Amino acid sequence: MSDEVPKTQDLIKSIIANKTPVASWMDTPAVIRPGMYCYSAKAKPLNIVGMPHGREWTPDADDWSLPENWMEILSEGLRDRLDRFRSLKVFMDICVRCGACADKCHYFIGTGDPKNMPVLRAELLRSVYRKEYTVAGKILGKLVGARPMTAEVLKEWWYYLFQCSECRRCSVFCPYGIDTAEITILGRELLNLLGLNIDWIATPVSNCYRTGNHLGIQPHAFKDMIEFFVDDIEEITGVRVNPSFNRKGAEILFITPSGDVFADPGTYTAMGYLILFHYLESMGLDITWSTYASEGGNFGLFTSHEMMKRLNAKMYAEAKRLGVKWILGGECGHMWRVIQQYMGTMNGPADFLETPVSPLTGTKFQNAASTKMVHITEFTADLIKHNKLKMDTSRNDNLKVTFHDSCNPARAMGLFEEPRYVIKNVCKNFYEMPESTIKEQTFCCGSGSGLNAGENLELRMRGGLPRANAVKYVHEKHGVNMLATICAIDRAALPPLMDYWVPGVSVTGVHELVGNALILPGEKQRETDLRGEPLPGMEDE
Amino acid sequence: MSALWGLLKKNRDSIVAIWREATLDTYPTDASNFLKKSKDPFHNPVGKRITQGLAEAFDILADQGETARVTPFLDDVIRMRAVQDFSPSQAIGFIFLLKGIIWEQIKKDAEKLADSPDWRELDAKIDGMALLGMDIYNTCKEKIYSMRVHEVKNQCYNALKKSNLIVAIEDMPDDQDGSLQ
Repeated sequence: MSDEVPKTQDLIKSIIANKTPVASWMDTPAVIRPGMYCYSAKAKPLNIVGMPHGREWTPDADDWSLPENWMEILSEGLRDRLDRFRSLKVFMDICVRCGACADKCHYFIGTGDPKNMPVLRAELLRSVYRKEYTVAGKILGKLVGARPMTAEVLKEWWYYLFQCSECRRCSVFCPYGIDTAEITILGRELLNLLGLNIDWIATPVSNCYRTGNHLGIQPHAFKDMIEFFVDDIEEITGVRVNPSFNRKGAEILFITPSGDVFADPGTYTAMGYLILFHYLESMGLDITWSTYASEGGNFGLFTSHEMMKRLNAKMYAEAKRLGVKWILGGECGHMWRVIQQYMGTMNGPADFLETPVSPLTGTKFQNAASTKMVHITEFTADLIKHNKLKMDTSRNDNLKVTFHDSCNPARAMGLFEEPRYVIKNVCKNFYEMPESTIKEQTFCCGSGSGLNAGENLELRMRGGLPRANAVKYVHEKHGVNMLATICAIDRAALPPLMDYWVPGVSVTGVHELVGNALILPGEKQRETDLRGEPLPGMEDE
Repeated sequence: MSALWGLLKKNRDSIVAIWREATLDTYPTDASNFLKKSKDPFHNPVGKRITQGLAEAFDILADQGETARVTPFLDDVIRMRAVQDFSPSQAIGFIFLLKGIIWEQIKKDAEKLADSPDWRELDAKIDGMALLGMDIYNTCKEKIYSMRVHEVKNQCYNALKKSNLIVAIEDMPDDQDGSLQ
């Protein structure tokens, strides 16, 4: 080495990726990078549900084939929503840019892109709002953070509003209670006025509208899949369970995300539900599945309020058609946000239903008096509390489990203790991740709100880093090898996340663990768990 | 231990601190302030991995340890940079920063060592780390691509299976001599 060695600062200049220029963020146009965005919505799924301006377009093209009067549409759309949603008006006006939210977003933490700070992501909209609706913004423009709408700004909106998973972690830290997820929701709603959705959301929405579930599975195929599980359960336990479908007069309707029925490892959770229901049938449980309400998830939430309402309507409609008393809901994330925060006023009141009462324990779920819908971990925790389940928990002894609080059940409904109570009663090895990464402060999987596509894997890996980092900690400290969760998107998104950041950690639903432990009357000696893997002590059998 | 390696150890804290600072400076300014300041390892995993990874890697280098031993520490850093907004050269370029930083930190004391063969060894070790970095970067990218392919293959296979268009080998009965029917 000698004086010829380049100066450090010169070298840094050559390896700087995306250094923010001294210029304002407004003067830094968004660069649309592959790996960070999802494919655009095609015309057909939008047309099927009557969404406007469906067409073929690609995000990396210069010309997005926008309708000629797109600025007018957007301006009118914003005005309409400011009138209708008081929250939007308040959120546009009250932010003092204190920065409390800035470093709380998993996408900012993982990407280092300042426009992923919640405050700045909201500023993307707020700046246009100021220009159109505030006197200061109209006169002083950029000086007060206002700017006019342009095609470049629109592209920036699209790029960053689909880099927010609506997880609401930032809102936990906002001293004013601004919910950036709501800003994203309304921002996406505005984009949808111009046909600017993503395929991963628009196609499931259209499928849900046509066949009742995200994948477009028809009723007979839905039933067939559950029959496969029935065969598998018989092979593993020697007991043939007997679920019913669309049965009028049943006491309870069961609705779960279709991911539980069609995607591993959610399928093992579905087998857990089937085993639990069979176990309880002789004790008085009267429950039916539905091939019509065959989807708990609701990608309408990521499209528009109207679409969310339309897709959610089938829950109460099916409950009414079948004449059930109440609804039991499976392990899902955003499904529960829709139920807990919107369903009652959107499609209720469901006065044809009764406040749910467990037929096994007599417990009245007063917390569900309005929605008439109970979360399955509440239901199962109550069964365990009343000593209604006979279990061999040693079947889970090979597992060292931690629990990922899914954003929506955690932050939208405060469901912290019930899943933990169930896990601790079916597994002896349970370890919490650090306090600042769980419960109301939980980190998103990085793939929520319809961003669980294959083409944006880099975004998902970055966004999931804070979650994976906390899992890695308990993996290294306690040997944790199983990440339990109560969300279907988590069950799809976390396995690749673990594969990349923390190899050696698998992903499970809580009711898969219950299904493994539960002793069915008349069952044979089980040799494998629900995945077909040898049970502890059966490795050589 | 020769004088050069001794100087590395003597100046360890300043070299590592500047290396960390320079590496974090490769992130956008608004982000790098946060990445540098936040000490919470769960709140700031990028900062934590870079702080720990570089310190551990430097200590192995200064101990004249086997270059391969730095793999897990470089992996912690490069695994992130492989999915962040960096080109391949930018993602591993932080390793080369070390040469200039070391020289600037020890040059006052190192003039009499100008002809020492240890410089060549140090140079080779840092180059070796960079080569390892390339391997790690490539492994991470291959992982991402294989995950993508795996996802697509699974979707296709499951769709065919659920449509009863294929019968999996494990579902076929065996005949007496063990071959498939």
